[in-house]
Amino acid sequence: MAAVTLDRVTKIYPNGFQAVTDLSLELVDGEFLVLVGPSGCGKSTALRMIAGLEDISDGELKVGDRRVNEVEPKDRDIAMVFQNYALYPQMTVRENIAFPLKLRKVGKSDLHQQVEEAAQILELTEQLDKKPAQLSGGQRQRVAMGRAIVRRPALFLMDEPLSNLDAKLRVQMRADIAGIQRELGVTTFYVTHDQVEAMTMGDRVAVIKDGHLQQVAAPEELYADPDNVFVAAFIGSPSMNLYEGVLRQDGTSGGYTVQLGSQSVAVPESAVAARPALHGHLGQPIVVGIRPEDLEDAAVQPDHPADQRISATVDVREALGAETLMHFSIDATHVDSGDPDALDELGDESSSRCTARLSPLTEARVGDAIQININAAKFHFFDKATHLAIRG
Amino acid sequence: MNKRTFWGFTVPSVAVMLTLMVVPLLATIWLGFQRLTLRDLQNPVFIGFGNYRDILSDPEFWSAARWTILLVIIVVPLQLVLGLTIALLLDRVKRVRSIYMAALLMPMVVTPVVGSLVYKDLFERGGLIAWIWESITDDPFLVTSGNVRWLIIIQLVWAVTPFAFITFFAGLQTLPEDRVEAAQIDGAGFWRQLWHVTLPHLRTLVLFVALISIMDMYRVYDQVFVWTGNRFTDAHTLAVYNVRTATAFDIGRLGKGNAMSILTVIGIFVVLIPFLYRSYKDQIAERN
Repeated sequence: MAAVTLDRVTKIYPNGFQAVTDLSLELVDGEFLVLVGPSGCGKSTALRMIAGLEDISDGELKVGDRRVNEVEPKDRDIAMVFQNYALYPQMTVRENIAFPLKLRKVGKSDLHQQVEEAAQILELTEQLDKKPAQLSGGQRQRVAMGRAIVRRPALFLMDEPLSNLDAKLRVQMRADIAGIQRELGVTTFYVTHDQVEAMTMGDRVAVIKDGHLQQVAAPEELYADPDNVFVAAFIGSPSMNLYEGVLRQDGTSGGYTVQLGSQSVAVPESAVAARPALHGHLGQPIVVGIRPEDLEDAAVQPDHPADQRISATVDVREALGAETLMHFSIDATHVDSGDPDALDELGDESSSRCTARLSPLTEARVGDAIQININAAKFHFFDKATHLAIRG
Repeated sequence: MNKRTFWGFTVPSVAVMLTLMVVPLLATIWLGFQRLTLRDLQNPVFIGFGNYRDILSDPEFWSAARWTILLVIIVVPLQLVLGLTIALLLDRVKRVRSIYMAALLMPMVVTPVVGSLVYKDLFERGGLIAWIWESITDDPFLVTSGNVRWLIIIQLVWAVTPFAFITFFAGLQTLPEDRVEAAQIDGAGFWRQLWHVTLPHLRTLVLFVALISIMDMYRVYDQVFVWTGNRFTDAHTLAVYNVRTATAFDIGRLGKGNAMSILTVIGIFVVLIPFLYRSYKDQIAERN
C-alpha cells in the first residue's frame, strides 16, 4: 500500500510562478524517500504542500487512501522537522516533545511514557529538563525529531534538517536519522539540496529541477544509470565530466571510438551493444559523460588498453590522502547540465575542465603532461538535443 | 585595553550621565529637605522631612495617588490588549499596510495637548459626540466630576495604544515563521498559537511596554489638565498635583515639589521592582 501518493501535484503562485509542475510520486509504506535538487527547484514547496503549509494548485495528494488536499496540517497525520529546528524556546525539551501530544489531549501517564520513550531513542534523557537555548545544534535537531516521532505519524517530513549543522555533526546525524527512521519504520519524505545526504539516507531518491521531476530511483541506480544529463551531473561529487563528442564506427575493423575534441578514445563493443539506440547517433554529436573515478593516471595503471587514453596537462592537484583529485583541460566542448548551483566551468572556449579521481600513488604535479586512462566501458551517452540518456 | 582609550571612550558618556541624571537627582533629594519658595530663592531653610509630612497628610495627595494607580491598573492592560490585537490584525494585512500604519500611529504623532483639546472639543457644545448624545438623550452632554474620569481613561488609552501596537507589530515581524508552522502541524489552533508561540516571543516587549506605560501614567499631565483645569480636583493625577503644589499661590513651594518628585520616583520603583527583578533573572538564566 502506498503511504503517500502525489498525483500530478502542481503549485502556481499568485504571481504566476510555477514552482512545481505535475509532480507524481508514490511513497511506499515505511520508505525513506529523499527529494533532492538545486536551490530554487521547488523541492521545499513540494514538501510544504504535503505538510499543508502551502495550497495545492492542481493535482491530488493522498495519505493512505484519503485525499488530503483540503485538510488542515494538524489533521493530516504528518509530523515535520524544520531546517531551523523551530523549537519553542520558552519550553523545556520535555515540554517541546510533549507539546503535540498535549494538544491531542493524550492522558498524563501515556504522555509521560511516550516522551520518555522518544527521549531514549534520541538519547535526550539527560537533557529533558533543559531549555533549547542550552543545547547544541545537534541536540536541538534531536529535540525537533523527538517532537515529530512522539506522535507516531503516518509520515515524517524533513526540510533540510541537517543544513545548519557543522560538517562532522552532519555526517553523524545523517546516520542517526536514517537509523531512527529504520527503527521506527515511519514513511519519510526528506528534502535536501545535498546529494550526499540523498545518496546515503534514501531508500529511493527523487531528483527535481525547476519544479519538474527528473528521475526517481534507488541511489545506486541513480548513480550508475542516470536518466538525463542533469541527474548525471547533479548526483556524484565531483560531478560527472560532460562533453560534446562523436561516436564513430571504423569501416574496416568495426570498432567504436568516441571523438572528444582532438582526441579519440576506443569504446568497447559491449558498451555499444548494451545501448542499441546508439547506432542511430553514429557520426553525430552526442553528450558523452565520464565519472571522475573512471579516469586513472596511466603511470599508475600501465596495463590499461593504450587506445583508451587521452593526454592532458595537470592544472590543479588536490591530494586528499585516500585519493588525489586532478583537474586538467581537454579541448572538447563542455556541456552545461543546467544545475544553477554548479560553479561556472573554468577554461576558455576551446577547452573544458575535466576532473579525475586518481590513485594517491600518482606522481603527477601541476604542469605535468600526463596520460589519463579512461575506463571507456563506463561512458555515459546522452542525446545532445533532449539531454536524455541513450539506452535503447 | 589601553587606559587612555578606556577613559577616552567612557568619560564623555559618564560625564553626560552625571550632569543630566545624577546631579539633578541629588539636587532634588537635597531640595526636598528645604523650605524654598519662588519669592525667596536665596534662602532655603532645612526642615528635614517637613515637606514629606505636609504631602503625606494632604488628602488631595492621597486622592491623586489613588487615581494614578487606578489609571495604571485600567489603562495599561487595555493598552496592551488593544495594541496586541491591532498588531495581530495588521500583521494579516498584506497590502497598503503603510496607510493603516500611518492612521494608527496618528495619536502618537499628535502633541498630547493638541490631541486632548481636539478630543475635548468632541464633547463640548457643538462637538460631534456631544451632538450625538444630545440627539439621542435630549439632554446636553455635560462634563461632570462623575464622567470626567472615564473621558480621561478613554483618551489616555487612545493616546498610548499606538506605542504598544507599533512595538508589538515590530516584534511580530521577527517571529520565526517556521515556529508558527511547527505549531500548526503540532495541532495548535489560533489561541494556542497565540499563547504558546506568539506571546512567548513578544514577552520581553510586553514587559517593556508595560514598564514604560506605568511610568507614563505617573507622569500623565497634559491630558488630565486639559480635562480638569482647576476644576474636578479629585480627577487630578500625581503629576498634576505635583505641578499645582510647586506653583501654588504664586509663591511656589519648590521644596515641597521636589519632595513630591522623590515620592513619585519611589512610587514608580515599588511597582517596577517585581518587573526589574524578573527581567534580571531572565537575563541571568539566558546567560547560563
